[in-house]
Amino acid sequence: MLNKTKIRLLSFAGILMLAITIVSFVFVLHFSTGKNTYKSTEQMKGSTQDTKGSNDYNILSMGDSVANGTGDVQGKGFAKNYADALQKTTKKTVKVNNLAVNGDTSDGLLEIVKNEKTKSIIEQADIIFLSIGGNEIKKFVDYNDMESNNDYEAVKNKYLTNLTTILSILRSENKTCVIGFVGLYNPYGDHLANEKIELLEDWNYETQKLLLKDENVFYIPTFDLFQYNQKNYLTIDSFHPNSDGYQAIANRIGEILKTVVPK
Amino acid sequence: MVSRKEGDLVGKLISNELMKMMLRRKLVLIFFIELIVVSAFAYGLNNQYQKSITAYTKSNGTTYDWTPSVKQEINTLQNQLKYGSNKAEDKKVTSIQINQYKYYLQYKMSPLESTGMKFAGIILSQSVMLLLPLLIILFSGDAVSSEFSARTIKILLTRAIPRWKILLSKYIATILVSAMVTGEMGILSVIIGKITFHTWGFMEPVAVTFHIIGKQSKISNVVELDQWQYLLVVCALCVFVAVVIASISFTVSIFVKNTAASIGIMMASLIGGSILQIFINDWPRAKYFFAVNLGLPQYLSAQYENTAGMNLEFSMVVLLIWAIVSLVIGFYVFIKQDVLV
Repeated sequence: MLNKTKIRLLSFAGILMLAITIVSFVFVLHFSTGKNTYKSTEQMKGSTQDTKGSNDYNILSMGDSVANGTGDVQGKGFAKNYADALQKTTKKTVKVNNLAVNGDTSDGLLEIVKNEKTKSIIEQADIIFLSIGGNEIKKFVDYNDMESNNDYEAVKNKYLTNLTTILSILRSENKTCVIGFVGLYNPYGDHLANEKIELLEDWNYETQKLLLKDENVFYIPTFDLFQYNQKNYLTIDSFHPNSDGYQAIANRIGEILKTVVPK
Repeated sequence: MVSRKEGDLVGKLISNELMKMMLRRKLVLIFFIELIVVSAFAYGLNNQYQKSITAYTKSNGTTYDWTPSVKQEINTLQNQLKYGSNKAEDKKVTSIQINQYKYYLQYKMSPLESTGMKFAGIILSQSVMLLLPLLIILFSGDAVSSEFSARTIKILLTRAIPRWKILLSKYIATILVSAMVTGEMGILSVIIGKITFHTWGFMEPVAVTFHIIGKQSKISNVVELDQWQYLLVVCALCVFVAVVIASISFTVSIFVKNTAASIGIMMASLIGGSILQIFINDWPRAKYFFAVNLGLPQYLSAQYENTAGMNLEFSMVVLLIWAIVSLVIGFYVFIKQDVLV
C-alpha cells in the first residue's frame, strides 16, 4: 500500500516537472521571437544640475572606472576623497559630479564630452579630473606578443588625437577651469616584463607632453604611488585601486593643486 | 485508440516499472548524491564569497554597508546610458544592469552575494554538462539490460502483452523518473541555497540573451526576467537534456545487455563530449555529436561567444534528433530481436 502511494507521488512529480518544462518552453519561445515588450527602466530623472550658486565649488570627474572610483568599497573614488579634504580648507560648498563610465576608452570619453547634455555640467566645473587610456593600453600589456608594436603606435596616436580634441572641447566650453589628468599606474607589479613597463612609461610620457601645452592642465602621476604599494592600494580584482589607493591619489592631487584651489 | 482496458494495462506496466526502480534503491542513492554535491558546492561558493568580502572590505563580517558602492555603480551605468553613444542592444543590457543594482540597493545586498534562486541557477547550469546526465544514466542505462542480467526478460516477454508496450512502459517510467530527478535537483539547490545565503531572491532581475544567428552579424535579443522565471527556464532546459540523455542511454541498454558496459558507453561519450568541446572551433563537425550540445543554459548568458554556429535552437534540434533516432532504432531492435537467455 505504501509502495502504491510512493509510486503515485513519483509519477506525479515526474508529470509535474514535464508540464513545467513544456510551459517554460512556450515561455522561451514567446520571448526568443523578440516580440516581447521590453521593460525599460523608468525615464532617467532630468538633469539634476541646478544653476551654480556663487558659493559652490564644482568638481567634475570624467573618464574610465578609475575616475568613477570602481573598487572603492566606500563608493567615493579620488574625486570625492579630494573634495572631502578640500571642504575642510574652504568656505565654499564643494560638489562632485561624476560622469565616468566603467571600461571607457578615449573614444567613449570624446563622445561624452561632445554630447550636448554634458555641456552645462562642463561649463560649471571648477576642476575637471580626467582618467582615460588605461583600457586602451591594457591589451598591449595583457598579451605577450611583441609583434603588436605597430598596433601600439596606432592606438597611441589615436588616443593622443582624441585627447587633444577632448581638451580643446573642454577649453572651449570652460576657459578657466583647472584640469587634472590622472596618469596610469602599473597594476601588474613585477609580473610585467620590462618592455611592457616601457610601453606604459612611454604612454604616460607622451600624455604628459601633450598636457603641457595648456598651463592650467595638471598631470597627476600615479605610477610611483602604486609601484611599491601593490598589495596596499589595489582592490580584490588586482586592477582597480581600493579605498586606500583612491585616498593616496586624492592626497597627491591635494599636493599638486595646493596653490590653485581657493582658500 | 487504446481501449480503456489496454490503457489501464500500460498504466499498470508503468507503475510496475517504477516499483522495480524503487526496489533497486537507486533513487535514494541519487538523492544522496545530489544532496552531497549541492551542499559541497554551496559550502564552496559561500566560502569563496566570505573570503572575497573579507579581501574587499578588509573587515570580517557580512554586515558591511554596500549602499555607497552600489550607488556608485548605478551612477556610472546611468552615465553610460545618458551620455555615451551605445547600440540599442547595449543600452538594454545596461538598463537591466541598473535594475539589478537597484534591487541590491533595495535589499541592501552586496552585488557579490548569492541567493537561493541564483545559486540554483548556477548549479543547474553547471551540472547539466556532466553531473545531471551521469545521474540519469545511473537508472536509465540499465532499464532494459538489467532484465537480461537478472534473466527476468524471459518472464516479461512470455506474457501476452505486445513487446512494444512493455518497452514503452519502461521508457515512460524512465522519462518520469528523469524529470523527477531534475526537479529534485532544482528544489534541493534552491533550499540549500536559501539556507546558505539566507535569501530566496525570487524577484532579482536577470538579463537573458537569446542569440539569433544571422549570416554575418551577431544579433541577439536581450530580455529582462525575474530570477524565478529564469530558474524555470533553466530547469526546463535541464529536463530536456535529461530526457534526451535518458532516451539515448535507454537505447544503448537495449543493445548492450551488460549493465556495466551500457553505463560505461554512456559515460565515455559524455566525457568524450566535454573533451571534444575544446576543439569545437577547429573541428566544427563535432557540433553534431549530442554530448557537445548539452550546455543549453550557457546560451542564455550574454557572455556566450557564438562558436561554430551553435545556438539554443541548433543544440536543441541536434539533441532531439539524436533522441528520436535512437528511440526508433531501439524500439525496432527490441521488437525484432531474438531473445536468447
